Amino acid sequence: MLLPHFLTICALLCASVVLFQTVIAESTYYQLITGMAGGSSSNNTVTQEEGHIPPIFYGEQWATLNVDGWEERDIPVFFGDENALLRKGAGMRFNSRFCGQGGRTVLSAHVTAHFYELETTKIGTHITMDTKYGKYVYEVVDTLIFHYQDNSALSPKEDEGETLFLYTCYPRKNGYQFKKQRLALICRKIEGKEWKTYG
Amino acid sequence: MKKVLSIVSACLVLVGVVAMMVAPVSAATPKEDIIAKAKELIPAAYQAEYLPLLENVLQQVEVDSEQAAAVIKNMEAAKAAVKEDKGDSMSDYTNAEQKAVLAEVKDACTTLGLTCEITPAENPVHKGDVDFYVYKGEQKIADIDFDVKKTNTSVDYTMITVAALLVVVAAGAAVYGKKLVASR
Repeated sequence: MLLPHFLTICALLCASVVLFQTVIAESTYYQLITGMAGGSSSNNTVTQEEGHIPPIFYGEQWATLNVDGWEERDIPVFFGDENALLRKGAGMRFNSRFCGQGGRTVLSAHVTAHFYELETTKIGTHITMDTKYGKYVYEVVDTLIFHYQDNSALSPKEDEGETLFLYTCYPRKNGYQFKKQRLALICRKIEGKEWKTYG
Repeated sequence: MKKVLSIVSACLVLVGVVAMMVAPVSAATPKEDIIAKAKELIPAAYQAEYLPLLENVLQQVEVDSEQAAAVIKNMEAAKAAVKEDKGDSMSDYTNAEQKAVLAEVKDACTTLGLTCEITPAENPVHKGDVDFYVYKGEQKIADIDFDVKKTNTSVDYTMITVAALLVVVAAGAAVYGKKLVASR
């Protein structure tokens, strides 16, 4: 007699927990409210070495991205590209270079959020990265469509120089569906200070 | 006149020698030493991926010359453990080679006051993919995988589907319960 009621209550409780964990707890607003949002701890201090960019800690927002012609403005850019960071903005691949270090800076973001307009961005468009150590301007010089299992597409090519590589899922018209392709914009640096690396 | 010229020349040479002796020689920093050794040991084909990775860890920590020397020894031991270049994926190497290299990596992390964790990839794209984490105390300073990111949405639709099914079960149980009550 009581079994159906018991089943109802249990099922509703389980559904609530799953929904909370999956959607609400992962939302930016919830994280802001509970103080879970934000970058790295301020307890980590490292001396800035001469000629090098200031230390940037994992999870820290180190830049803001703006693309000419986009409605989306001031996209936060984080160091690292784990899921929790991609929920908040664009994530920088850990084994890529920071702006000004002479290599490739690889950024990714969700096509349903911050990089929705990537697909309609034209060659010649200017992109600005306002970093914590200076401003960098890039120009889109090429686009690339690659398979999601092709990690090599993210690696810099020989003699590529300093570039910004922005990528997201493709095509965007498929909405939230899992996509096997990625679209990238390859951008060449046209303005910004050079910094040393350790090698 | 000749004597004057030779004295002046000798003085100029002497000044030049002294200037060279006191001129500041830019010494490599401990982090530069580590990267220089990495450049020597890592095959050229993989340097574009691994050197930025190593630098991005090092720029988040302080390293003195003793620590650098110890880390360099770990790097040399790791290189010695791998008999030949079989590829850039861990799964390309034998268990013994993987174990030996990981032991040196963990030891190097300990030297720098860090801990590291290697786990099977949460979202593997290739067979044998791993996720590599580095911590400084409680704080994560690296979350490394080499994969292309999933960038369609941040919402986990599998869990949404499970939640929806549970709601359907709950509704079904409620309706069944009502019918039971009505039949009495």
